Amino acid sequence: MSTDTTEATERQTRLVGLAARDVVKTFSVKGKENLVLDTINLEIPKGEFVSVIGPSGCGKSTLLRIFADLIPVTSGTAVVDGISPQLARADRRLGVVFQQANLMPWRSVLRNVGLPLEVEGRGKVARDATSRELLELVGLAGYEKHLPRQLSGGMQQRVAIARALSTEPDVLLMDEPFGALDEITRERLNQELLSIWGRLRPTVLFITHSIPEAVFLSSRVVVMGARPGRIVDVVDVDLPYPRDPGARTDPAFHAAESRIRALLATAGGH
Amino acid sequence: MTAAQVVGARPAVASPAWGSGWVRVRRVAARWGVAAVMGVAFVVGLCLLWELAKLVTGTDDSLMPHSWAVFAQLGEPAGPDGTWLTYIAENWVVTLRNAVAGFLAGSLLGVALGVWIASNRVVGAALLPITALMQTIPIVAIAPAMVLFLGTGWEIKAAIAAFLTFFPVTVATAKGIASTSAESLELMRVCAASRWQTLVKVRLPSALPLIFVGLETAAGVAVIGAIVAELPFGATEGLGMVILTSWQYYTIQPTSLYLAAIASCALGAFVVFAVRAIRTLVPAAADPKGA
Repeated sequence: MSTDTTEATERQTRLVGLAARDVVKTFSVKGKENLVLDTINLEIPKGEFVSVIGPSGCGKSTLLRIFADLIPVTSGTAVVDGISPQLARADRRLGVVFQQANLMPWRSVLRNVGLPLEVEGRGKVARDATSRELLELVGLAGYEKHLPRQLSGGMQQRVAIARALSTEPDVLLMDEPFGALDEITRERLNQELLSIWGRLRPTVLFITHSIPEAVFLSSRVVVMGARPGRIVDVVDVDLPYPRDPGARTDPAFHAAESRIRALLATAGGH
Repeated sequence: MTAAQVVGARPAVASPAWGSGWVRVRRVAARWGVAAVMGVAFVVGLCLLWELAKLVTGTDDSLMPHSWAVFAQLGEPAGPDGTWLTYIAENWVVTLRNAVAGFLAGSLLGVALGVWIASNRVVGAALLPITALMQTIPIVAIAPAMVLFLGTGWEIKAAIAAFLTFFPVTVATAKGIASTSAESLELMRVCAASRWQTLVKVRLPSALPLIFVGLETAAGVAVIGAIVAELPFGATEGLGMVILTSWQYYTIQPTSLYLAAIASCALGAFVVFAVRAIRTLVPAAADPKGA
């Protein structure tokens, strides 16, 4: 092992939330191998909130999809909550929120939130009780019987978050969940997401295009570069939790922001 | 409870789109009311055109009877026990039973086959061309042969209706299931859903709008199938039999053939609108574009 002993001990004492060890991913397009992720090494302790930022085509969504067991690695190892992504998914330890809320249009809000529990085989009474609590948590109490198309984009995304939380996941994977929302809604949802995370403490991998969003939410920001997709650097955000909107004016916030901006400028891609 | 009361009780929240069962029933009733008015207007318009054509061409009454004469025929006696109204109605119900039985059986078969085709590429590649080929078999040609094999029972007529029903339903189901959004399927995968759960909770509901398009098409051809099945083999009941006998007596009494034709149209419209009415009761079947 090339890692030094102090780092190894530290790794043992803290449980692994998400980890990538020499992860390589290639896609073959018309017989040509295309390197999407080049030797990704990443270690996220259990319960930490980490964001990934990078230009389009840097493979950040691919990395998330590997953790979600939606695609396999080409080589290397991915670890989710201390076990393989396959086992973690089978054990229902994952919650995923995509850029599109992706709600079933024929299901009421309540039944959309309860869908993962329904799949799990939970009874209707317990299911509805949990779903109601979660809707309250995301600020949508009173909308149980509505259909998704009656809600705004921000409200739909809240429903998607409630749905992802319904099985009490240990790991929450979020792929640009607020990317399609306006700035005001986005900042409000950032605040709400942090308070939910503070209460439930899942490990979060949060993919975003927005530097302030990444800094505001996370304790660490993974900056990726494109062609091939690789980790350029990991930036620590020295701001204590719980954070409120005032954190956005903190010197440490600006320091992290400019550091990330500088890294992205050299990261390549579009 | 009406929508207004819901809003009153909770002013901050708009009312849900799908109200109580009563609201839904009223919506369907309104739809049927509009359809009935349009239907009557259509018939009146057709009669006017008919009379105009008759006037312009100066066609003789024995070839082209007056439209009111066709409807007057309903009151005239048909045989020893009843008028043409009861005679047509009795046979209408017979054909309706055959068509609906065939339609239901064919639809179930079609959905099952569509699911199978969509879930397995090899099955799809093998079955879809065969089902398309089967559709080209001229039903009028093989119906007498089927009767020779299987007898003249109503089940055979239903089977012919079913035969015509299943193809559009199969294609619509297979296409509908294939069009399920990839994101929804990924969501189910993340939830570790079984194949069956994914089918029932996501694939089939996603396919419902298209399945209903197939069902509406199939409803029309099921009625045609049921009538055609009654044509060739000296049937003793059904609208097909009425059409056949009326046709033989056309030179003596042309009105009865038109009456039979109108009854057939009414049957087709009835079944198609019934399918549409059912569609409005199923939330997931609504067109995603809101049409």
